[in-house]
Amino acid sequence: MNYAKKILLGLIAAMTTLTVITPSIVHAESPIDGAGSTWSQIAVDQWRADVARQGLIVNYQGVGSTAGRAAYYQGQVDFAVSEIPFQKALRDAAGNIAADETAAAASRPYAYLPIVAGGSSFMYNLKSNGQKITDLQLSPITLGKIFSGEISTWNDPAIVADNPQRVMPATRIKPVIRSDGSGSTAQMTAYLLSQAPTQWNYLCERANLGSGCPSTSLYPDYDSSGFAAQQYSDGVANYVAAPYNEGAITYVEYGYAKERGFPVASVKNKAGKFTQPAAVNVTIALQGARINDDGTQVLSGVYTNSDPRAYPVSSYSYMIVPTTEAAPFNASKGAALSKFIIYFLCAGQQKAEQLGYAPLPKNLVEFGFDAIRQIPGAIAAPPIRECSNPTITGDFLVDKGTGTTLAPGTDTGTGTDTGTGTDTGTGTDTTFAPGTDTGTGTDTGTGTDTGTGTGTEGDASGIPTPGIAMATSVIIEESGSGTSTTVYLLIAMIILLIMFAPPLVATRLRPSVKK
Amino acid sequence: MSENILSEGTPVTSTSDVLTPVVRRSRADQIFRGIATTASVTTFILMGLIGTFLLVKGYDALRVAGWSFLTESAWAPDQGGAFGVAAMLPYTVQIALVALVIAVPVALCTALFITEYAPRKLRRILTAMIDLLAAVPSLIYGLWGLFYLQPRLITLSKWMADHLGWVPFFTVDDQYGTSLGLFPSSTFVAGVVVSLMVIPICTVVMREVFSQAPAGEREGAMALGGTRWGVVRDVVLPFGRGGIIGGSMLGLGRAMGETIAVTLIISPSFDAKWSILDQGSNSIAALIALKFSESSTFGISALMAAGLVLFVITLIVNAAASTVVSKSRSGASTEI
Repeated sequence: MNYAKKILLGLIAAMTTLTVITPSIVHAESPIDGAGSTWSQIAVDQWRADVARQGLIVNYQGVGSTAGRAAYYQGQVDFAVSEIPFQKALRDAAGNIAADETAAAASRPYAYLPIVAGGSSFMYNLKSNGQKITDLQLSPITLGKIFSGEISTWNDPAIVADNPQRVMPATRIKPVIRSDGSGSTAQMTAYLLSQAPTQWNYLCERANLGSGCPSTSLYPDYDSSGFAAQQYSDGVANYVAAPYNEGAITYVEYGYAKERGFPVASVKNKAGKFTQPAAVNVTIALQGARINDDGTQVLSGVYTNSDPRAYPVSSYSYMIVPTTEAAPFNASKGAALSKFIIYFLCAGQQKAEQLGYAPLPKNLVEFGFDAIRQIPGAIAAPPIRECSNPTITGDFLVDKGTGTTLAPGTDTGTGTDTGTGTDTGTGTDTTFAPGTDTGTGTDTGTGTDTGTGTGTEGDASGIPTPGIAMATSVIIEESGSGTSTTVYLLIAMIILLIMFAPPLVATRLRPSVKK
Repeated sequence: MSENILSEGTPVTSTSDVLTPVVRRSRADQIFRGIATTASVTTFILMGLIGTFLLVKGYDALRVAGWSFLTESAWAPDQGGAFGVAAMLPYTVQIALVALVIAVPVALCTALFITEYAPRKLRRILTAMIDLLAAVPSLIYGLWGLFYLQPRLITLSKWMADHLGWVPFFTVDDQYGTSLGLFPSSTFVAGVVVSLMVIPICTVVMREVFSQAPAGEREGAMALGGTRWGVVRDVVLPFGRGGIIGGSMLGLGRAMGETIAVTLIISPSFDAKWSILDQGSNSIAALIALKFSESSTFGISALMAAGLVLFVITLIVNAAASTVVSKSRSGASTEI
């Protein structure tokens, strides 16, 4: 008996050690740890899962950009993901340095590289004569005016000027911002700071932060401005989608608006066209991205990209990687990290669009490859033409029917036939600009101005253009007062019954107590 | 009396010595006594550690802000602006009070019903149900409140604003009229959702106290021809005063510290106001939850300082409550 037991125990022990050991044999790479942005987390988690199949273990905790950066300079993680770079010295009201990230991070040298790209879309809930407005157009300055609280009704001259195609209702504007710290806010405020500086300063001053406050992950709202603040992308999207919040507008990832069947505003780009935040438009805009010597992004070229297809409010988040072997990093981790980076810059970007982001264009991939070289122990990046990033292999932009070439300016040539053929694809994808009916750019030759083209047409006929997603619109049911009132009454009755019936019954049932 | 004392030759002088029961401690006894003592002392140490931790972490921010931390209502430590809890604190108290105004009467009635009126079978079921409710995570209440209660409650909010607007608390800034969109993220809605979490806790405490009302007095009151209501009014309620206050205060503590539900519902405002119906509210706990992940080290220090304020206030409230309770008749048996 005893022997049998011992043998059994021995077997179990052997099996457990085996199962513990086996994976470590397969994974030649040491596992790497990261922390940071929640905005990028969906993509990072997907890529993590992908490389795990190849035996590469990447751990990631979405603790927030700022916490991620702190974890990096405190040496808790191998890499961080953040929407904003390390922040310069923060001075308190008395002028003393309260916190200084760059100084703290100097002890652990780092490099920035692009990781996830996306656009801030502006989801809104607006009706005109009971019909949902789906073709709202906004210029950068108007956006600034809305999100600084400078204008308060939807029929303000600034908005009317952007929307000549329709009569704007006199609804009150209710800007909805994120109450928690968020990468969406960082990207949005960076855009406002750059493209609507007067309006941004107005906001800063009203929030008592002094003129010219920097862009921030925590939106600087002020009171009595009619703003509403909600937590998480889900929170703001649900808030805007609520039937009683007509007039609300928020900045949120495109997917959240799509999911709820709500339209997003077309934003005016440098070429004067109003574009939707479709992945392809974001990627095209990001071709204008430049970087500083320290690897931080210069997005003014994105915001003012002259390509007529560019969606101006586009941005990308950073990965922060170590350039020395300071603990806890080492060369073996460097090899693993560089493999992961090469994966997500190239093949991983094929999944960007379906995850609700936009693939990084070639220029940003090159920035990333440059940064890899600084990682100790990194493997060499492949030649750029072997990178299976969809914007480099070319199929991404061709599939979208936006022209065969990436470079802006060349699209004037555009083989018109192929352009038309593929444009149907766009129509189904970008839900609110059903470009299919226009025959797309056969006359203009570009096929890019589908968004505006449809807008005007729809208006001319006086019928709001129903997008494909509109068919499934308003997931949140309009609370019909008829049914709900009866339900209330029923509930009230039941509560009253529950409250008063038992004591009555009880006293009836137990006459002995009454004696 | 005790061999020990006699053998040591100490004369028994005072009566208290005589009355002290003889304790024969076996080894097991001593070990258990040690464990129990350590556990209880740990509570004190824990409190001290939490307070010290908050003070140490919040010191940087407190040093910069000074006393203005209590008078400043803006919150921008991360942008180099001023910061303080002058707006959060009143809002926190408002939410807690709204919750209590709803929870205490309901809990009181429920507890009385369970102990005095319910038949035995129902009593058992109800007790189990209340305990179950007390165990439901606050996130569940929060989600239910956000998705189900909020869209329905605003109709009531609007009605109150329209018809009871003359009550100072219900006055709504109606510059744009009282559309439904004005009400969803208010102190009132947050308070109602929090009240749902407070009700079971209050009920449990109150029920426990009521059930301890001396049977002799109950029967005496009955024998004198008292009605059931008379017994409740003259025996149970006076006896259970401590439990009512204790349960309410426990609820107040929970209401002030409630985080997730409040965070999900409110639209943070940094300007204190009396009106509880319209949009804009805040709470210290919610502020910490919202700002924590994207705050700089200095911002986190400021959040810790806010946490310290909440901690101190909760302590004061509970201390005040236990004083009241200890003075009541049932207090001795129901410390909170």
